[in-house]
Amino acid sequence: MKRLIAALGLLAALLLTGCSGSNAESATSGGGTPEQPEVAVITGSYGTPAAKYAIDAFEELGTGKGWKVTVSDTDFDFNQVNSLMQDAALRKVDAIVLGFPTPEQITVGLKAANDAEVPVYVIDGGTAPMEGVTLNVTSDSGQLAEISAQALLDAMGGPGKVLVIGHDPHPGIRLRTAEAIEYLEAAGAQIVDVKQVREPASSQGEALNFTNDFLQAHQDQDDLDGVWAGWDAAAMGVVQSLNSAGRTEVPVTGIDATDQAVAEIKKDGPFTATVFQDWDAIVGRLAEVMEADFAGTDPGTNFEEKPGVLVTEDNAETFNP
Amino acid sequence: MSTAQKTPLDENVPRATASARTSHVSRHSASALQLLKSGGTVLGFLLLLAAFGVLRPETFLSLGNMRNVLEQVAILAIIAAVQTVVMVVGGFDLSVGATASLSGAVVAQLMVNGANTLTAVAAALAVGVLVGAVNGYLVAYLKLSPFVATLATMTSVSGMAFIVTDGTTLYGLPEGFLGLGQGRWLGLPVPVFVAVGVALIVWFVLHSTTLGRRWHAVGGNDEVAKLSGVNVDRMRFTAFVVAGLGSSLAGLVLTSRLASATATSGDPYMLLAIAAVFLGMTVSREGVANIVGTLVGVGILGVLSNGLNILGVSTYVQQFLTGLIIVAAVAFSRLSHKRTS
Repeated sequence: MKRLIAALGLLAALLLTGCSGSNAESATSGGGTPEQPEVAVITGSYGTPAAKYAIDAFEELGTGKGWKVTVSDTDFDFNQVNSLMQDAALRKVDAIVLGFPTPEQITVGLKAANDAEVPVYVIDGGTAPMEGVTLNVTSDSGQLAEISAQALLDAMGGPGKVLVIGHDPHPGIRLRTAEAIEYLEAAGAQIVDVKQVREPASSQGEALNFTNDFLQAHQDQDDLDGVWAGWDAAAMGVVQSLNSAGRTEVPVTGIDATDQAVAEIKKDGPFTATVFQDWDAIVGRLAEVMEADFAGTDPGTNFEEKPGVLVTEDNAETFNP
Repeated sequence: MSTAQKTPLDENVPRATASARTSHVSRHSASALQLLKSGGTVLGFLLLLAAFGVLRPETFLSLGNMRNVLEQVAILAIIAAVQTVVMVVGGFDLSVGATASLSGAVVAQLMVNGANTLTAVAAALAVGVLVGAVNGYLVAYLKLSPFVATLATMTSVSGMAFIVTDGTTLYGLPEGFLGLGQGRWLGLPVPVFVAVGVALIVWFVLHSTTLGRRWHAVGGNDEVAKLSGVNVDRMRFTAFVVAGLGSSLAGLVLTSRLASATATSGDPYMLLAIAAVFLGMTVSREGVANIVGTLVGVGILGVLSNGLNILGVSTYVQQFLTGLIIVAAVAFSRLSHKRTS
């Protein structure tokens, strides 16, 4: 009986494999058509809210334009992003769209796409023009850092002691963290510590623990005046810690303007401000350029930056992404 | 009889006495050394506490900080405790972290959509039991290796967590639910009491019940256990169900603590739980999984993280040191057991 069940399970697995195999074959043999270009969206970051929003928005836009859009997520395995790019290049798709890649890690996949003459577009990939990429539309990391840092300075009532939470493996967060630190220090703030979150998946928990430990190690109320976090999930952890310790006078800023962050800002607690990255504008611009490219018009540039929008208590109620 | 005329027997008597004394001293030294070896991990833990206490006495040893550390390790302690059960029967469960994530996702999604808190909690726990049952069935009855079976379920469960959350963060949970992860009782965080409760139950079952003895028997030698009349398959199955239930409970505490759920929030606990259990095995003379040792392992990981944070050590260096300490503890214990045998 057990063997029968095992055999049935194996048969089911084989059937499923066969089905997906035949889908792959049809994708290989069919490809896109001039009427229905095939666009392969590849990302490792679909598990983060911002990336998911942007990619879903792009998929909807592209499907609306009559494109055949497929989305593949590698769950933060950026090496597999290269493999998927190679597969897409082999299939001769009409375009590859990379969602939130780390530029240094996609060289192999980029080469395969370039060799196959498959254009590569990028949503929020790094902070500078990338060779081999047809167009990279990204948030202006410098501007994100500047407005969030200024918001923190305003909330602190001037320069003070600032704890910074970053995640350097993400190039966007790494750049905005560095720029925020530079901006804050130029304004006279003292950076008391820079904590690096190890796992994006546990950002909130890690930031909560860091802040608890920091507050424990610095019992003096004068030891901390503000916290700058590179993204909202980490900022939420900091806010929780401050609320728990009764240190609600310490302002916190984040970036992303997630629903949770905006809701928290409305509560008039430590969470003071966040920055909305206009993903709709970013993916909209990308889709616009791609459509023109499919029609034969080359993009004029391979790098565009979009500014963010500051969300504070003043406009949180009316903020509508 | 003069000393010059000792018979061979007489000659042997002083030697025998001396050698008996030597043997007696050696046995004591060997016992002390054995004690040191088997207690090395505990000693290491105490040394860690002492080192951080000396470096930051006013901070590290404060009541507030100790409470901090207990709160920070509570969720890990729950997952590690049930991981211990699975390792007692000779397996291990890679899906514990993903099950915690899925459980959190289920309870959050249900509550956000208006379900009663108790109903949502019960559903989340049921999901954990179901995952455990699937693992148990695959390992105990289909005879798959625990590594393969739980790796597969981990992947699927993780996918289900993404489906349930739709990849977003679920928040806006009812105040009543937040007490589980953020409440205080007798001055201590509620998660600590949950962790202590789970640890006590696991300890009691392992040490004082027939079920626990059978689990140990299966883990010791399943063939002998079978010949002794123990239903080996059922014991393995039960162990995995316990792991699933415990992981889902940990997921509930985590979701309550963070007042939100994501598809991956529980994932990092899997490797940490296994590390804690392996550290705990070094506490046992036989080198087997045991709940007391696991709690020592959890304590080591928690104190290390907290202490290094207080000292301002970089996160990356912390991770490197943590791995180093785990390797050192397990290697030392393995070498000690080799020499003893």
